[in-house]
Amino acid sequence: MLDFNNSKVLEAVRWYVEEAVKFDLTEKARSAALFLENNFSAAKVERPEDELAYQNLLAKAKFVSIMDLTPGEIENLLKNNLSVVLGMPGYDIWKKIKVKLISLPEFDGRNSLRKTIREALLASEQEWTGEKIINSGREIKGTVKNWLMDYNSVVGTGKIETLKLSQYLTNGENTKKISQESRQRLDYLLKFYEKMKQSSLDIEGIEEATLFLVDDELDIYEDGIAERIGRDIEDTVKRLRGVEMAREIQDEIQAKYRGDEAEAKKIEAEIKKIRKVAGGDAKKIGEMLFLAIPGAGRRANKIEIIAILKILAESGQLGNLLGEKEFGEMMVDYLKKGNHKAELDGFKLNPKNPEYLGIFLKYILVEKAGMSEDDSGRIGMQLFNALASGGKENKYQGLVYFDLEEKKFKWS
Amino acid sequence: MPPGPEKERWEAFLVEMDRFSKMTPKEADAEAKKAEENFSLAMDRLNLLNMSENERKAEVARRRAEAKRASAEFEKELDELIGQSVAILTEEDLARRKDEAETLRKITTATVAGLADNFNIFCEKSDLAGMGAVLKKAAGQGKLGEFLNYYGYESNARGLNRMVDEMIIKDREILSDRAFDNFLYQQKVFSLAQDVSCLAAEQNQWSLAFSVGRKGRAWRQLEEKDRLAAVILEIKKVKPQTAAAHFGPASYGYYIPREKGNPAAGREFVLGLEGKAILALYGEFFEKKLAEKYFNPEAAEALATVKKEFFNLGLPANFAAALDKYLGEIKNKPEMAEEILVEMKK
Repeated sequence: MLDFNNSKVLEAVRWYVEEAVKFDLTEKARSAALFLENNFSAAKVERPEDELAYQNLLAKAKFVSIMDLTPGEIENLLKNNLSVVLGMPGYDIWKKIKVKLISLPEFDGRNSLRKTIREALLASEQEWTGEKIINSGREIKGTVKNWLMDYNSVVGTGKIETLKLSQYLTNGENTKKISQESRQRLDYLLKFYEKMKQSSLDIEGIEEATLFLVDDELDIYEDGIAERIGRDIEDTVKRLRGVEMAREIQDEIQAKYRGDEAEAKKIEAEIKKIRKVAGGDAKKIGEMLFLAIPGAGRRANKIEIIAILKILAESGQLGNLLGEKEFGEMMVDYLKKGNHKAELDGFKLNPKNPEYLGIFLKYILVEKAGMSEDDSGRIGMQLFNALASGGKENKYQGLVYFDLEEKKFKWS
Repeated sequence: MPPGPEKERWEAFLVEMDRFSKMTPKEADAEAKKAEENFSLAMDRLNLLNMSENERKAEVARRRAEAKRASAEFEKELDELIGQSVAILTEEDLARRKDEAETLRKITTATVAGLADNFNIFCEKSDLAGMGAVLKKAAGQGKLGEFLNYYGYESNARGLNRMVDEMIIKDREILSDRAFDNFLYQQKVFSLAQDVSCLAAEQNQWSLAFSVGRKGRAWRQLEEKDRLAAVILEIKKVKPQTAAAHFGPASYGYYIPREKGNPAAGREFVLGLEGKAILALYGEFFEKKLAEKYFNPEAAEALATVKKEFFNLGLPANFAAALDKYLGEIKNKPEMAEEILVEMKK
């Protein structure tokens, strides 16, 4: 059991509640209120100032978690502790009560709570300003009740326009000489009181902000006022969504580019195996590629072919592949059989043109290794990127591209 | 079998069969349904690819026109239904509220698991007032996000709308022979979703705000772009100082549960577009507030898990470092704080 006379306990409770108030941590406030309500009693606290401090902290915790209170408890809290909110910077009592009102399904229930609050305010003897009020020629305390009586006697008890409220605050007999701080306090109180005078069944009393879709425009209706959502906000939304969509596409392309994880691991293992056997001997690796590319009737080892091509790409030798006699002949044979006359003429004239490396790799990966165009294109893209990162200029750019509509890699 | 693509395919098939055999019948059904859908889609795509270019273009145009006609038909149907139902809707809504208030008074639990137990019973009985009462209780307590996570949904407006569709409206199609009844029911549910969404919005839980809106007199679930525009307008009304202190994790984004129905498995925070908008608006100011220790600690903890998202938001270069420093500093608590925390949790 905690000792409420221990100053360290008070310090810790104060820290906890003040954090809940400062950061509007409802859940924390809820547990603090429950804890104090169940464990703290005036009888257990010896020093009157400590008792007062605990009561103040309990009230603060209740104000933050006011949603949990019954109408009767709210009435008591407002009537007996309202001035506590003056020590709670940033606390918006209307916003809090609004949550309570919306949580009540029936409009009659909401109006009943508004009435209860109104009556609690009109009965509150809590001091609101240091300045006194002149009433019928005599000075009375600046309590919540007295200020509301003065306000009602000046502006009336019916529906009050904001302008009239402002006039009272600046030009009222009792308000014109008060300090700026007191005027702000009164502004806070009177605006809240006015909210409590509204009916949840009237259009300006509807608690829920509602978005209306009107043709191509968006209007928000809140607190009796309609507000159109401007183009600047729509532009912000477009920008945010555009960036998000671009990023999603980018993630998707990257995932496709990486390909199947299990296959990538197999390729990596094959690369290690080949490097162990051939070391950095480019000639030997070239021969291995030639042997790995099957002739008619023999199944290719896709993983091995990709692994060798990757080694050649990473060492920069892939770019010279068609300069090797056996691969040059293979290319000529393929172009002849496929009746690609223009490409054949072009290749004979300039075999180092990167375009022909693209044609050759597609031929090897699709027709010899049995890959789809999409999958072979993915490997092609990886090979060209490896070639480019090896310090050579990226003359292979564009030989493979990603088709955004079909979401597939394609050879140019 | 020799190594090669066929062996790989066979091995993959065996792995897949093994996975399938370990599923519960419900999971297997869902998987089979998904596979069937994927297969139909793939076949459809294949058919389209097998067409000549002209045939394909004509088919795509035909499908677009069909979708437009269906949409126009839906709008027309909706207009007719609204015309017939204005007076009835108001009555129905008031009746729903009355029943909801009665049920709300009977719900004594405030824990997410306790509320979920109640919700399950009301769901089984298709008791809309009961479901509404539970959702309102959860939202009023600031626990709507946790409640959605409990059922496996994301804790945002999208998750709320999905829950509403899948658990409350279920399969009540508007374009059907029971169109009028279904429409009335849907409108009652959307009106409830509006209340629930507003409760979250009033507590600065922007990711759950504006799940529905009105077009004419009818409620509709909102598209993300419209929802986000409304949220940004509301955020701009908040003083930066208040935003720094009062905006919690649900102001900035949402959580995805790791496991449905098992909060103990934890959840992951995702920075939403509303959070990106807030940080883009107030990032510089927030950096100062972090240094002054005037920044919502729960939001700071959530944001620290998505630092990689800060890129491109125009945040000050040291924002992430300021966040870390702040989180380190707020660990310092008064001497008896831990004991108090233990007592409060009892």
